[in-house]
Amino acid sequence: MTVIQAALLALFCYLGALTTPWALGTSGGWYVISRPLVAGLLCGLVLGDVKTGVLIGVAVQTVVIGLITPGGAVPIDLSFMCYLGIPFAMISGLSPAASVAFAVGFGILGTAAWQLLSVGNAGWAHLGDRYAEEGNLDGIIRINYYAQIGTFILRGILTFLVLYFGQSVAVNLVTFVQTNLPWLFQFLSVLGGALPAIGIAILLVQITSTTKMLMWFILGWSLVAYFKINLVAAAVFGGIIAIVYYLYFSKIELEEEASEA
Amino acid sequence: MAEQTYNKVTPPELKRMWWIWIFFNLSAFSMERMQSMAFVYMMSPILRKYYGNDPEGMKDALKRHMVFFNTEPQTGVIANGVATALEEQKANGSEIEDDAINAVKAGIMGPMAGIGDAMIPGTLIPILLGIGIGISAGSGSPIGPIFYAISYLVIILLLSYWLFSFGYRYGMETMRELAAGAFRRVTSSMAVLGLIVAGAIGSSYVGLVTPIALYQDVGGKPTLAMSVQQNLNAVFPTLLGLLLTLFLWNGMRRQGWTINRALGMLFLILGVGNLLLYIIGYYANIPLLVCPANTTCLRIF
Repeated sequence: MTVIQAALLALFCYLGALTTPWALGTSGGWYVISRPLVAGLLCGLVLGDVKTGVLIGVAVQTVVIGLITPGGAVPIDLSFMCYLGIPFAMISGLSPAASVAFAVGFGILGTAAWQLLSVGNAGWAHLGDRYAEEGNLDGIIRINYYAQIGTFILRGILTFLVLYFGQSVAVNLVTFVQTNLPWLFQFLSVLGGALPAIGIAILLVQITSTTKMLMWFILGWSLVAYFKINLVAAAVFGGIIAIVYYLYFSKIELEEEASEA
Repeated sequence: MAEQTYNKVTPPELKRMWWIWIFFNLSAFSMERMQSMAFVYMMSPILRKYYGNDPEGMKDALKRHMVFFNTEPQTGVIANGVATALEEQKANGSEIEDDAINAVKAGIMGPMAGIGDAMIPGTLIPILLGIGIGISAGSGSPIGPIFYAISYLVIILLLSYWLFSFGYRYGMETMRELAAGAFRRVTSSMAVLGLIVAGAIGSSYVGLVTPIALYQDVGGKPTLAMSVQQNLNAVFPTLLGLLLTLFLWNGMRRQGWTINRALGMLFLILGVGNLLLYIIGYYANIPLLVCPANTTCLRIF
């Protein structure tokens, strides 16, 4: 990996970070540049092998497909997963399936970076309070830019240093783990397979206000388990059921709630 | 008192506010105050317009909007629209308490955080990603990621702008009425859609199988006699994944596990499970649970 390649990847890592505004904020950054599917393409373009990049991106994407980050709680850090895990997997010549395990490892390590940033940024909020007392609007606006310093150090500079100076270590590490600690790889890939369960469980906690609502979830699960339909088909059935629910049942539920209260 | 002209927020100002929000909604994110600094930045065009020559009014407005704000930024922007309408009315002489503005913000941001997460990263994104994965899996074609990036941005930006305008146009009264009935009906119906799709995603992508199987010794070679997973598949495929998901859900909802704790439990279950099976298979040498030589025996799941 050349200096320029490492710098480009670090730039994508920074642009795609959850707190970076420049690429259409969270919409274009976190939700596009930091999706492993897209990151696979970008890493492939930078490293000169689009096909391998995309294939690894696809494999890594499947384990974090339903990931949500309620209230800034990031269970798996996509930034490092995408822009350390995927490039290192590519230069180590890992298969897409083995890349998942490797990327999951980086995703778990990366949560520490996120914790550091989201706690450290509280300092800016306190400065903001002081500016509010003074009626200093421009000061508060500037904080939105100053706060980029932390993000840039963690996601840009740190990523660059790890990519550029860590590449031989990473390749050696992969070879070492594969030959001497195969169980670790196996464990991480099993973990990768089970990982979507975390994202989905978080989502469930967010939207089920009552336990009986779980039946809708189990319905969706069973539809796919037995009939092997794809997500678009599931969304169509789900949409129809939701409309029927809205038209015929949602009012009844509200009335029931009101009479109970 | 002379009748003052009503000083409305102009369409270009509204557009500018929405763009500021889209770019900066999480820029100064911190666990303590979340999106409040971005909220002030978004309000800045109209704060300048109304309180540019009124330092006291400006201080009050800044303090009013520096309070904790957190929602799903792309869809929760409906709260920003309502707050804009309220600021406009307040600046034009309506009697609106600071608390009322923040109560409305809080009343919308909460439900929109839940339903917004369920609808956008929980439903829309996985569906589009699923299509993209379908295009690129096997071939490694760049069309999949390109399709995802373009379709997501077009849908989310149009939707987000529409929700912001909706919040501004209908303001507080409508939101109050909506909160009482129709809004709740819409969100609960959307939750139904979100739950069905979440189930479909789980069933498609949670890959949890057990290698536990009975092997018979046939002429010195271990031969598969009965596989637990094959029997499960005949009854309810992906059952183990469903049970794991419900277990994690139960832990987080009922036992109050944090996300890190849930992740730790996942580690523990898979790790201990793997280890146990490894030990049993490797050392105990139970005739009915022998693993083939080169093998997936490490895995329980």
